[in-house]
Amino acid sequence: MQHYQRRYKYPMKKIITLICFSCLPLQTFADNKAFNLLREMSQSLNQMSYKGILIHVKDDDIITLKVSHTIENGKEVERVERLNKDGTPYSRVTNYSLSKLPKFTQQAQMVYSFDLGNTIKVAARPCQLVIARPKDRMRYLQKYCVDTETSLLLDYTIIDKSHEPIEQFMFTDVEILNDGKRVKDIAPISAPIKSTSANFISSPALSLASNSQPIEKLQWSLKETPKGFTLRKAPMLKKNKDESDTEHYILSDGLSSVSIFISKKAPNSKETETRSGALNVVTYYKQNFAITLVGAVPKSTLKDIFNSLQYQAN
Amino acid sequence: MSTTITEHLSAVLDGEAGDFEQRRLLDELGKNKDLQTSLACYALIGETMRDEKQASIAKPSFLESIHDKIDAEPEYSQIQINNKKINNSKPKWIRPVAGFAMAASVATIAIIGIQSPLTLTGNSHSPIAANQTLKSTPTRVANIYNNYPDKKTQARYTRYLDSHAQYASTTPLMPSVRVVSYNATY
Repeated sequence: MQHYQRRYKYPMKKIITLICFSCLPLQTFADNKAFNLLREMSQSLNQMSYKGILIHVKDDDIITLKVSHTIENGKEVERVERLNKDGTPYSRVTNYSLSKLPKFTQQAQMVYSFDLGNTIKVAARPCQLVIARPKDRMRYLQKYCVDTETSLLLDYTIIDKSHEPIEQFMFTDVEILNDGKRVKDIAPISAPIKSTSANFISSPALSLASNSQPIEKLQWSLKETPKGFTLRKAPMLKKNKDESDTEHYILSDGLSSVSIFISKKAPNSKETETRSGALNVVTYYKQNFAITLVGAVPKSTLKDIFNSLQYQAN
Repeated sequence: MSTTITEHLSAVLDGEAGDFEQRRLLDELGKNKDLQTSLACYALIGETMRDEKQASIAKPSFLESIHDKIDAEPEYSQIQINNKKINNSKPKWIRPVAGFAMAASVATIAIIGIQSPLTLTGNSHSPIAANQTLKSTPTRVANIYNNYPDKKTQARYTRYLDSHAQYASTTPLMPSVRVVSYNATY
């Protein structure tokens, strides 16, 4: 019996190891396929002509929109109307565009894994489920359903940490106006970026003030930047009659973003936490400054970012 | 109920009974209400011991007690009035919050915030119906929004959300859609 065990012990280990290694390329392949599909989708929304009805569900609200997107003389023309219950137009919606999707850069692969799901039907069209699954609990899971023939996004859902959908839009009817073929000029992603660490927050600190003027004589910085996020600065919000100048910084991981607004604390102001659908808005105070964080990420993430903020007097 | 039958029942639950005993017991369970009660009791005991969780037992009078509680509730019309108050007390800044959504920003927010007829395309007689259809459940809204900010804070949030939508929004859930949603809520 011992002889038997000794004889087969190592071969079994080798077999298991081989199986594990053989699965890795398959997983990577699936990951890339899902990611490339999202990139195709992103371009399709810019280049395709389509019209349809979509619903937007958030908390207890449901609205219906009639969307038309065409390419005329090489330019995108979109028309969006909100519909009444009986299907008649209610109001014109301006500055709406499905084509303003994220560009799905490799940055997102650091903190999300992209998986292919089942093929289901949305608006009577077959679509491929793609899951952008966060590798930590700092962001929401995002579920896309992409038309298998045209790469058009038919269904999009944001799902929170308790696996509950918190915001969704979905086509209930869609008509493809051009030939409906896939976009072909997509440069495929060859390999995903390796995740550097499983730590909750691991990136080196970024200085908020590195590319901007400090507020008054204080200099703000982040002790630790949340993993996968990169920092950039938006134009300052100029003061108006009741408000002081406000610095606006943006942290983005490619799929989710957080705005940090820093201004002088107003007298008698209170800390505020609020949410609507996937969007959280919180205001906390530090050193007589009001810091408002806005983003479609969990509230805990906003708190982590706030706690990481620090200032130094010059 | 005879002692023998309950012993058989215990044996079946423990997996120690044979096929014949199981069939006999199943026949008996179909017609013996005491035995059914014993089975439920034994199963509950076993489940509690295995899961080490506190078991909750629904008594036969459970449904009746619910009905009694419902009868004791105040009139629904009164509750609706109370909820209406909650709804009306929602922060108006949330309207613009919708606005954050877009570069549409200030103009769009203003339009939405006051539900100006400027946003209507021809069909000016329909917005009331639309608002009624899409109104949020007051209690739900009360759960979502905390610490309603004052007017100054509301104005500040309007600017912030607008700027966020313009420079930072990455989600396919377009901010302007959210704007519309907010418009529907108020």
